[in-house]
Amino acid sequence: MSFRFCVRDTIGQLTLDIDIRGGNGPHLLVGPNGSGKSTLLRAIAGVIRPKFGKLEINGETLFCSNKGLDIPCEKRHIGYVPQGYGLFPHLRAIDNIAFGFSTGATRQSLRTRRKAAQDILKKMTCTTLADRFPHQLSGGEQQRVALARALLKNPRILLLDEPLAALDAAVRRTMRSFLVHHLQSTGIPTIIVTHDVRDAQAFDGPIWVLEKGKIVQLGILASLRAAPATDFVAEFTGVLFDRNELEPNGSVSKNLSAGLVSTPDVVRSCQSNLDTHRTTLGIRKSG
Amino acid sequence: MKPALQHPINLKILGWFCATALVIVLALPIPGLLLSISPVDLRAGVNHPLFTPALWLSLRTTCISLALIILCGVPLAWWLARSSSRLARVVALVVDLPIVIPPAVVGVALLQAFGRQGLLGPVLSAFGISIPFTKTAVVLAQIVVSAPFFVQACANAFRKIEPDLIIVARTLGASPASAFIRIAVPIALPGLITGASLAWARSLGEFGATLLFAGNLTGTTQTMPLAIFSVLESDVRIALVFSIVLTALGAFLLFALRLIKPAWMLPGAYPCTDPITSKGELP
Repeated sequence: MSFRFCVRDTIGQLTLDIDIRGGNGPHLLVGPNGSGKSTLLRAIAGVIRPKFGKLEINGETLFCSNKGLDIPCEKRHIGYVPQGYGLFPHLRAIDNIAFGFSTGATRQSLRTRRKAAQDILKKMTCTTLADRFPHQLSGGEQQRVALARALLKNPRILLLDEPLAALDAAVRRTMRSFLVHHLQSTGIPTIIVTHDVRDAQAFDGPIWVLEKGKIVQLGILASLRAAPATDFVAEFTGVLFDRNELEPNGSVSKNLSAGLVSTPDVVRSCQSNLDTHRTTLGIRKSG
Repeated sequence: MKPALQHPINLKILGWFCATALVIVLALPIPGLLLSISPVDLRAGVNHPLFTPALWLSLRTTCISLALIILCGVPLAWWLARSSSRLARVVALVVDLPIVIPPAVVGVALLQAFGRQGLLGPVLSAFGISIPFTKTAVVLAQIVVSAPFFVQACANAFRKIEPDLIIVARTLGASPASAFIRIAVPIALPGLITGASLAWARSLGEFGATLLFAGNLTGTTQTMPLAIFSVLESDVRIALVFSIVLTALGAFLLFALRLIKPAWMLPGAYPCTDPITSKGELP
């Protein structure tokens, strides 16, 4: 499986200029708030139609602005789990999951689609959730139901928008390993938006760093950590502990975080490299 | 010493007093009506020659106007809720306008729009259509005065739906229309019901616009409020009976509609026994 998506358009106040490609397994999309991560996912899903762009999955073109081709959202076979999971509040978990088989070209009988939903719940070892409405589910349970719903139709690609952000620390850990396990077992190409470096570690896939609508760096976590291209990457990968403004004479305008480094020595050692008025100091943990 | 807490307590008492006064003013007319007639009056009122035609006409016209309001109002409200264009803002203002215009003015305006000398008069006349002083005029007057209540409530309910729900439904294979009918409408249903009950109640009580635009013709355009107005001059007791019947009808349907709550909104939503075989309540 392979996919490629390029887009060039101004959506709202954000100018997207992106060209990404990937294959099986998880891909992580990180970036500061407002950098265009969710917009990018929605464009791939087909909800937003960019002025210029192309989306190819496995050699099949789903969107091409040059040819005027735009396969509608419902025919792209793309799984999408938004922030907050997007469960339909008026349907029980089982009918939420079975929704994909209740409409469109893949419509099946109520019995068949509920059976399919039960089967996928069984695979995820959460059959007890079937009868509950979304408001009766915990955050982690909602996550599982949303994932089951997206996976039921065997999508070509799965888009997860901050899947773990709304969970508390303990549930997040459990759900992270659950997601890693399931995504590895399905092998489906997945784009995961995250703000958490632990997700990047756990999913162990290529990372796209998106800033102001552009990919500013691409690589695995280790390479990002070794040579962060921007402050954000340094901060995300844990390289940057604090930011300091050095005056031309090398003096520090603010102190570094207490206890992390012995500031005067470090600053002095950096002095010879100063060629601008402002320098960002990055310190990588050793070992 | 000036106690710091005294003011909030005084304000609280004042607040309670004002709120209670308002509740009394709102509620008092109902016992006032109920206590003013006897069973004999009730029988005489129900047997009055104007009663049945007016009640029947009111029920028929309000049901027709409500059906038309729902049919046209739901898509309009959806568009108003989803669009942020300037046109949508202007349309929202136009839709709300009849709420602030006195019904009598609406009646005159309707005459100027659909009357023989009105804007559309010549066009309608060319097709042999005359709207004023007909049942159509009754329905039209009801639609104009009550549709804003429905559209407003409906648009508010649609605005509360997370756009992601519609997006997810689309990615799962639902067409825009299917996502709207199967996801947006059921989620907004409580708001739609509230809007429908408000609009229906407003239609049932419509008087001014109907009187001016449709007239007060027994059996043709005389709805219950107009019948009350007619009999008030000859027999107050009959007017009281008509009023009580109208009140009871409005109150009953209003409460009944408000009591309808989908299963998923109830705190202890019951599970279906067998998710595989149960027919459930899938839309």
